[in-house]
Amino acid sequence: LNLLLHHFLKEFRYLRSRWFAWISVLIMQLAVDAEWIAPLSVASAAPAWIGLLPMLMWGGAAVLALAYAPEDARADDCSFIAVRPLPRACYWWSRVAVFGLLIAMPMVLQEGVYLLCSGRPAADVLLGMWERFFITGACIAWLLPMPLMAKGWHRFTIAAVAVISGLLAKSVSVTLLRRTSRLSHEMFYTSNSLFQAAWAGALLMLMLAWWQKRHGWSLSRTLTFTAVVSCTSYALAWTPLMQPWSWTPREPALITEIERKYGELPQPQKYRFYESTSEESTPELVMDGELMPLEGLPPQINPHWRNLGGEMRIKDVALTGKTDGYFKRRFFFLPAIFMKDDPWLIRTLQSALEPETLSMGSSSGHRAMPTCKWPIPVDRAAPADVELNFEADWVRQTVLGECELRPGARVRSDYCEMEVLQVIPHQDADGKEQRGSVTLVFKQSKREIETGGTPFEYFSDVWMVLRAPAKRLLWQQGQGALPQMRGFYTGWQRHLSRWTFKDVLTSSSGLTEADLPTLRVMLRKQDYTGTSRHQLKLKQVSLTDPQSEKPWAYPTHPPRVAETARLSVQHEFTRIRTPAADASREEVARFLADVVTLSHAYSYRSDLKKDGSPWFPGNDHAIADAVARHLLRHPQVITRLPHLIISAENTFMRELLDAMLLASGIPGIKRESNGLIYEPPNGSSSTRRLLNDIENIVGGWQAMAPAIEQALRDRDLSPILAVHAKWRSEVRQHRSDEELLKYLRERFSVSTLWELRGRETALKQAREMIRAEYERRVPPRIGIDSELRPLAECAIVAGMEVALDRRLRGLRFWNEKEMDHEDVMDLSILSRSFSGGELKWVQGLEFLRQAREWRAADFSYDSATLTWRRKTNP
Amino acid sequence: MALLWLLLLAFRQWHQVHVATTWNSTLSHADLEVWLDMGLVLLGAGLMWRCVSAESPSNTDTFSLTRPMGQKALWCGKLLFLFSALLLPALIVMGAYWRGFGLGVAQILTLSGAVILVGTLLGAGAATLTALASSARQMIALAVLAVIGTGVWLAIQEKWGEAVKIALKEQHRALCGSFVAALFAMLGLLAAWWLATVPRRRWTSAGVMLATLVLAPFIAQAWKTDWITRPTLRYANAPKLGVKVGTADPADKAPGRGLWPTLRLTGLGKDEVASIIEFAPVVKNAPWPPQGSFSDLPANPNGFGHWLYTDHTRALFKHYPPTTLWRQHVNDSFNGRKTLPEVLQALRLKREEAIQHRWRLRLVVHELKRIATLPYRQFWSQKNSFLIRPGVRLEFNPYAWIREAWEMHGRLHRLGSAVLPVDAHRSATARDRELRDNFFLVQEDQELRENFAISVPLVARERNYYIHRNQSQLWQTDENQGFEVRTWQPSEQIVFLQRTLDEWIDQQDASLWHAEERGIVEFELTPEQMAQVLAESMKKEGKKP
Repeated sequence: LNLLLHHFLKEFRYLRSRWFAWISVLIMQLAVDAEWIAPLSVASAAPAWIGLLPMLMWGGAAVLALAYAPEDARADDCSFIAVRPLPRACYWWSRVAVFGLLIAMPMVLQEGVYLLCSGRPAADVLLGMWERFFITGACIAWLLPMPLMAKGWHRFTIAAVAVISGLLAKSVSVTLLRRTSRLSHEMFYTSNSLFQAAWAGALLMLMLAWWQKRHGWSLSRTLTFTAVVSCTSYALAWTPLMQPWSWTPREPALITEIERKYGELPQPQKYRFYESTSEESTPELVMDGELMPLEGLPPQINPHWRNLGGEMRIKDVALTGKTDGYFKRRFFFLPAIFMKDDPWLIRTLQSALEPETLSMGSSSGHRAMPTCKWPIPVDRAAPADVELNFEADWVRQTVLGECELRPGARVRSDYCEMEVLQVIPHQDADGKEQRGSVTLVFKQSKREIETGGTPFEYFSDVWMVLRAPAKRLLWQQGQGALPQMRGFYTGWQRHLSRWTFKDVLTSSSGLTEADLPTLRVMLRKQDYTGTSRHQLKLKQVSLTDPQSEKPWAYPTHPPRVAETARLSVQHEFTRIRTPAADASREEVARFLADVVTLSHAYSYRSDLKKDGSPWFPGNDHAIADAVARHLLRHPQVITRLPHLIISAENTFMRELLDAMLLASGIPGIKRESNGLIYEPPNGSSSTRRLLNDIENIVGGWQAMAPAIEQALRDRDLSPILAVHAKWRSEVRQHRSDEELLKYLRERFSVSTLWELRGRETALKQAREMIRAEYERRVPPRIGIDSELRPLAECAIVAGMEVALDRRLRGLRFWNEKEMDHEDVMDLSILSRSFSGGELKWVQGLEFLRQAREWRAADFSYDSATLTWRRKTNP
Repeated sequence: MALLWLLLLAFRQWHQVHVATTWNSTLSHADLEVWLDMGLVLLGAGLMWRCVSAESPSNTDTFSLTRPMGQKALWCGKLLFLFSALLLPALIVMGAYWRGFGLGVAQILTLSGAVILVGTLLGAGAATLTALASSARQMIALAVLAVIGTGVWLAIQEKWGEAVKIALKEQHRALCGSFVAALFAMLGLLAAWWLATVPRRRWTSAGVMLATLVLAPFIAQAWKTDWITRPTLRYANAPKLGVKVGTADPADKAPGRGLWPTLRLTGLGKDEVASIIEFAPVVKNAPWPPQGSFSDLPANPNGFGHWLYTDHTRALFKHYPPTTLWRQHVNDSFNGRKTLPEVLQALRLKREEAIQHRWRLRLVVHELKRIATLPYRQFWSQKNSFLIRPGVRLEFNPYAWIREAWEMHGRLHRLGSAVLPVDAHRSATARDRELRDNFFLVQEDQELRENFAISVPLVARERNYYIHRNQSQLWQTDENQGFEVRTWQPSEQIVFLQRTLDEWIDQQDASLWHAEERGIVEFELTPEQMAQVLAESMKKEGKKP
């Protein structure tokens, strides 16, 4: 021990000038981290020199580890150490002592002093010190065997090669994983797994040094093997061996319970299969949809779903599905990031919020089913059995606290502290003017210890939400900038940030700058609950989706423009070569293709103004008549198309059909502005409009096309009238309660619900079903997705006050300038719920202005008429 | 080591070409550029270090001091090594890359000079440092100091570079300054190396090197002469050009091309198109153009550098049968020329006020020139490259199925010396945006007589968009302004003609058109003329929503 101590002191004497210089850097870093000097400040930017301190701190530690007296170069057989009567063990233990006492101990003490001065509890101080030792060892320990491997500048070269190889390995492996995402069970390393791998690297480096000394390798061979060891160590960080300490489930019992209860997921109501093409240009069948919520679980947890792939079985053929894209893999901070945009987040915070608080601006939900892809099955028409495997990463939300939105307000918790420094209205995080936004400048300190910490790195564990209690509104998204930071390498990080919430001070929200102190800032923390595995089994599902297979036309804009768009089309039509009277079917088809291309090119001629009136009044009758003459000879060109609609602009195709029937000379057909009418010479007919209906009836074209062809061939309207008669009988038929309920469940049609008036039992069932579906599917936010709108309308008609409340509150956010005639149609449905009628444009605007002032509490529900009436004394 | 240098040079060049020409290349995600550049600098410096340290003049033990050979010969030998091992491989690799751009002798010489300048700076710098160091230890210390110094300098540059966005002219001045400073630094470093090697004056040599390194940035900053910026082009046929105002006389056989029905331009060439850069009244003691001035070429905020619009498509009509149905995909920011009342509205002027002033009309004229007509199949399945003029090449990749559509990627590739401009004039500028080369790709369906004109959607060069790769460095311009053309087979042909993709491709030709600048021209309209221009009450057409 005496020899060891002597040798250590000898090393210390050699290193002392450098060591004291390094210690001064450590002290300086401590002073900066603790904000004794250059504190976080709104007024001034961080001085540039503090960015150099970490480099000097870690670079200095590395230099200390590599340095030794020249006479003690073990790699040099001529050096004094080779003949000195010093046991080898003493030499190596003294090297360890140099690391432990001269490098690691100051680092650990610096961390301990910093955490103590920051007022952290004793347990955190000890954990922080332990983790600092762990990190220091990971960064420095692998340099200790260098004296054995090389002397002089060679050891710096070896160290540099090790670092550069590791960094190159990082570049290449990240690239490969991004591209293939097939190498690892997890995506991307965390810094903790990298540090673990670095410790393994130190061990490998020691073995390499021993082997190199024994075999006397040349410098080039030593460098080559150093690079290999460095890359190998780095690769270890990607393997399951190096599990980050924080990536451990917090509530394994709950996860087990979830798996037991929902090992097989409930059948989704919405899913589809469609054809697509992979990046390698291979056709594939893609499945997406929406997973059903898992009920009966703690409200504070939400899942982040990942699809692990699955099998599709058609008859006896099994196809294996695959998922790609790195977002489908476990990725250490994605679940936390996605929660920010999840409109269902508000449910997890419900206990801290006013009832019926609605979220502003949240977009995607966690229920979207991650896609799975299969090769295109040979027999796609046959039904298939599908089995999918999922994993869900569960995240628990905890409210750390909240404060007022005013400078000086604070939130304090064991995990995190926050102080609002400035509140800047109408400005974004970069300081640019942004009307309606509110930017907070705040100082936050946060526990950053891996042991018992969260796996959500890069500040994704604590998020801020803003709420207006009086308005029952919550802003959960925000954009920020992180201008200054201190204590990045410590267990208590501090930063000064700017965070912006958009669309807060708007006329829609009813908030002004004077209301800012009434708003509240809430901090929520996210914890990793655990990962559960699930299966989804679908039996005998159809793989076809007629909607996605319709051909469509890409809109283009023609350069030739006459006085109006309608005139342009007529002008251009004269350029098209007309086929001969006896033209073949192919020639007529080419002619038709040419005309329809022209129609698509000028499709904007059918565009409507906001109020629903046409921009370019008129019609294409003249063109349709000219084309119809040729089509009459080969009606199959058009009637045997699988779909009538080949673009959003579809009336031209129906006008062509109208023109064909008109030109066929069948008696009783007349043309009106919106289509053909039928007035038979022998009296009245129950069919008046001939073809207009096919635009509105699901499957209308498929039913009518053969009838049109036959009518044209026989010069007789009977087949068309027969189709109309069939449609009428279906509408008039008295549908049973079960049929209506089934239809309602599938479509959520308000008219079907009205049809249930007077059928008390069925109406009660319908109400219960709608209520359950509404609560399950409609997220608590301002604004409703178009696909959920029918359900929301049904909920209002069914008497749900919550639905009416949300709808009326949502109307306050409508911008009249952005409204169009389709919005007025939506308002018409709402108007009928108040016993109103159909609204025209001006009435619609007036209704909107009135409805914005209404509150659901001012109305009572009349269950007999399924309408809402204003209370006499609200 | 020299072989490794050659291999690394070749790999770096291949890598540059690969990432610029390959869509979503795996290598482009690896961010190898910095590593390769750093590797080259380290390897080049290492090569010179090995060469010079073998006979270090500062090391008294070195064998060459007692060899029967003069120090001059030694220095010349090392210089020759610098040329043959460091510079010659670089020239060979780079020279191969410069082929196919139609560059003249002056360009090749300037580009080669830039390579020699860079290589000599690196080699002479490393050689001088090595010659000044008497041991490996000193060498490492000097190298570490050099690396720290370079890092600090780069960090400062980056910080300043972010804060200040400088104008093109200022960039050119800085480029000229850096070139002169680099020449000075090269001579200074060579002198320092000479002083350390031949007369073996270490302190003088160190002084010369330090003075060179200190003075060079000052020279770069203080340099004022800009020989790079070219003047803008004036329209050569300006005397033949005229404006006609007022309602066109039906008897007039040359009514001119209408900018508006009451303002027409006469004398334009057959394939020439005039675009309004600015049109606004000239008000005494007020800057021109005023706010609200009309322009056909407004600022384009969506990240694209293409500016061709409908008037340019119309210029193509006469080259095709009159019965052709035309469709187009042009610059989105052009939504039709405003009517004159709308122009007045934007300027917040009433007619009575407007006709009190003289108005200035600034136009830029472009000529549509056909570059090539090829079977569409050739674009579909092959790489294509068209030399537009020396130093500018339009390159196309074959079509590939990407992101649910057929996409053809390509780039406008500019290569030349940054200190000796290839172009004789500067492109016209509208609203701070350079109107650089633009192109039409016209798909021509001969059978259906349908033409689809696609304005090649070049990305804006000032945007850091992922398909714009500016690999220019060290007095060499090497810029790839990318574009992506997305194409779908027309559904009408699938539905009605049952035409397959291959049939559709094979029945078409494709032509490439270049909008070549002819120059800028200005007109002054008197109040009387403006009274005629604004006399006509403009009928407000129902415009596309």
